[in-house]
Amino acid sequence: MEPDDDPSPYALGEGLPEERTELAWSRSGLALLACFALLARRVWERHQGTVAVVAVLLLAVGALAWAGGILHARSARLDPDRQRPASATKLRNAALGTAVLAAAGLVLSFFPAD
Amino acid sequence: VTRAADEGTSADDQQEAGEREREPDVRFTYANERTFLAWNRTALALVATGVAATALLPRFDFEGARRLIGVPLMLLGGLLALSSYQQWQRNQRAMRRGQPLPPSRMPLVLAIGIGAVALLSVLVVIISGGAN
Repeated sequence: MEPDDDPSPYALGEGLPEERTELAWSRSGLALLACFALLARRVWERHQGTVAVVAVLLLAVGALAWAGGILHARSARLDPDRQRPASATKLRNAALGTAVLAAAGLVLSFFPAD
Repeated sequence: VTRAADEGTSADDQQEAGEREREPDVRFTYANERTFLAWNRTALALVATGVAATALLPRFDFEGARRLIGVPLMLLGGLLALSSYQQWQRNQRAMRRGQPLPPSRMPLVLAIGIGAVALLSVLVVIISGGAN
């Protein structure tokens, strides 16, 4: 289907798919923040030493892995003439970021504070 | 011009498919991306719930009870996050080749996982003599 032949109201160039996609990234960023905050609070209140260092590192890696995708969606939205879905690498990093947060949670559960 | 994900296809796949592969309508690529993100939010919610279960619930009568509820949730979240990327890749490849979208096992995994954890939670509450 060529975009030019498409009579649908969701025509390209209006930026609606970009907008929906950026909103999806924003919602995901909020979910990330909530998850991050819970984990960070847990480290802060109960942990110290090696476990805390490992957990903080995992949290930082997990959040940074998401940053690329979120920033990309933002710039793609502000530039609606060029359709720019996120690259496979950015999506892979985001997925890995989520998995790393899960790993941080597991570390904190299996090495509880004394 | 779409710069979608070339990495979804291996060199072998590309040789095999040759000229038949073309980038799908960018709206479909965006829709695939949003589906991926929705799964990741689900995964993040599962991880957050798992952390909350191990950290915020009051102690039960036996050791490791909260972990019994929280750890499977975190594992499920991690698993779904990784699967969501795999599924995105498969969808993207199918769309590029004009094939039907591949079936996904993720909804089933999620439903069984949540059901199992719910059951486990009930057992933990019963074994520990009721939630005080």
